[in-house]
Amino acid sequence: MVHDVLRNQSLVSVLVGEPLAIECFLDKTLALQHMNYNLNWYKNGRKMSVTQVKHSRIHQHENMLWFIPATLEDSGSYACVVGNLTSCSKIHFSVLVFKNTAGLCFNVEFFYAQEIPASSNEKIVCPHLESFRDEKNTLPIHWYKECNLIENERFLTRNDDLIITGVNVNDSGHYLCKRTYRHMGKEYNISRNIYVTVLGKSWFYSLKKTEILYPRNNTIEAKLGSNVIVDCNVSSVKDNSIGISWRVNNTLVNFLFMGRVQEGIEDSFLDEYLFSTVRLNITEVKHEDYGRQFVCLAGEVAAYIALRQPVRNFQGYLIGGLLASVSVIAVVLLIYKFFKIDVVLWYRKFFSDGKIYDAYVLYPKISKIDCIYTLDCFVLQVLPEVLERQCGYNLFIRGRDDLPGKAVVSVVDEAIKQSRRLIIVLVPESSSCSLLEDISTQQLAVYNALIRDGIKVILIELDKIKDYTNMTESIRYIKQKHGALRWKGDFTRKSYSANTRFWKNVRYQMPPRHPTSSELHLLPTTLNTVQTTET
Amino acid sequence: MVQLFKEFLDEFLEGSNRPVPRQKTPYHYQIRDTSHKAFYLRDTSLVAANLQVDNAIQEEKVSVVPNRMLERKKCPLILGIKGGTQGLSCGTAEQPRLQLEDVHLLNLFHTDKEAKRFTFFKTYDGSTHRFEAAAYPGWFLCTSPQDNEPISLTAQPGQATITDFYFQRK
Repeated sequence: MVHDVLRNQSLVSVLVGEPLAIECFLDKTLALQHMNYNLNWYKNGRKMSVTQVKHSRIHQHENMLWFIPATLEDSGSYACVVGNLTSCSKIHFSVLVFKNTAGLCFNVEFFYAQEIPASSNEKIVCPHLESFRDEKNTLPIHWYKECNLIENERFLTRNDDLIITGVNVNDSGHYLCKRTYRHMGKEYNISRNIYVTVLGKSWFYSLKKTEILYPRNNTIEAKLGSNVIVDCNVSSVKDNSIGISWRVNNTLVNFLFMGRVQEGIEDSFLDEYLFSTVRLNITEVKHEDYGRQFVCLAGEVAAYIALRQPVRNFQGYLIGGLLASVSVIAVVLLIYKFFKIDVVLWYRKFFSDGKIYDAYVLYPKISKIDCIYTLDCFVLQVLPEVLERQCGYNLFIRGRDDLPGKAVVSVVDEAIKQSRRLIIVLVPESSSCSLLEDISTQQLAVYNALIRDGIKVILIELDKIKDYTNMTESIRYIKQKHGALRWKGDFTRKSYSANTRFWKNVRYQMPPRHPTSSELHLLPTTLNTVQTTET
Repeated sequence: MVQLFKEFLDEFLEGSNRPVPRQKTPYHYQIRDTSHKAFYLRDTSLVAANLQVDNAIQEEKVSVVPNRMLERKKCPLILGIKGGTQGLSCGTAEQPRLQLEDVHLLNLFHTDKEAKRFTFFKTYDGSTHRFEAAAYPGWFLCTSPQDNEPISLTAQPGQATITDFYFQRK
């Protein structure tokens, strides 16, 4: 019974003209399985095993198959058969004999890959020479790089090794190790092609110095009062104990801040480098920490971190500011719209101009009975009640405040000069009350008001007046320019309230009320006369 | 290696924040002794030899996951081969013996007790790495100076055996 053992490492290659030895490795279990075994080599398909005669170019010696030397036609399959009386195993090998690449001392397709780090001392190895070492074969190995014999003091041959000092990336390339092998009075070359890669990461140089990976003289944001933790990450060479500390102004932080700022315990991790971490813990950021340099010191290397207050979100603030302004403006506008009159009235408290009357009240002399009641009621009761009693204005009402016997024109002229406003009370034409019959008085008053003194005129309609065509031109002008206030009230209590819309509008158009006005009541004749007139 | 630990351990600690932990895979390293011998499987044993490029495909890369129970500073690595499906065990006998066990490294990562015999503390001297058996202090992973000899453990590093390795993530 034959077990075919298929090995992975079954391909063996050799340069033509060089000796080759293949070992039929026996797994321990296989060896035990075949106690007192026989081992024989066979070439592909041949029934005769390879000879054990030493003079033969191809022969078996102990467990090994030898080619001294190998020729191109030796390429092919070989098998070593291990067995005893009951069972045997067949292990297959494939031999490839190659020639050198034209113009080179090696074949570019057959080589051993060896990688070394850039370091102070590394070695490369000339492999698979054990079989060719015996008392007759102690000659040294010669090393070639890119087919040139190496004669550089950086390179040192020791046994099967080539030791390279100060390895750098330029040492990468094709190396050839070569020595002679004497067998049966003849000399043969043995060569191995090695492709050496010096790992680009230049450890040799970077390992020389300690490096602070973080911080990197940078600034981080930290809120006032917040807890800030910063790790100082250092890479260094193993066994190079450097001592890492956090300092401010070259003093250890642990001594400076009464425990508010503390240094952590060093934590290290060994890999290609020694990675060490020492933590800085600022338990509560204070104002004086901003701009201060917290320095991580690792041996002779130092790097700092500084804190800065978080940058305000300008966009947010801008939008917020805009929104706030817009809403403030909106609120102000709304307040102005709804409370304009109240605001103005309140504001006027603080002004004074030296005039006696707040308004001169001009109203038509009514001849028709049905109008009298409403008009007189309004002018002689409602107006004084609201504007004088409630609001504290001082009115001049002709027929109430003028002294009998005085010339009308001079009375009007004087009174208007002393007034801040001219109130003209109008009744509708349709009510067949003739409007302002007292033309001369009216015209004089309006003239004074508009032209001479620039007094503001307040038109009050006691009912809706549809047609102003019959009015004088000056009335029409005033109506057009300032509009008119229409009194829709009756003579109930409610209409006497100064807080109704109508009266607010009147008060709004009235001048500011003067705090001194109380003195004015003492001026000649007015109040008493009114009362007597009324009665 | 820092990355390996970060990926496996830091994420593991933060695991509560991550409802679906990312599927982890072992890291794979090319290991070579200082005579540039690579590891390969011959029949059922792991041996070291200089391999020509046409045999390089047989090279076994060492699969690595960290051991989360042991001190991180000592760089405890669970080692295996075949993409992490076989563990490099030191056995449980009084005397350690290196052997391959069919076990998934990722499972070992989670089974704390089992993992120790597969765990090695890695040290680094600036050029080469050493692997000390976590369960057998003073015992180091080694190769024979001869080609095609099995990987084993030695208590006498630097004598007759090779205990220093190049260890490159591939």
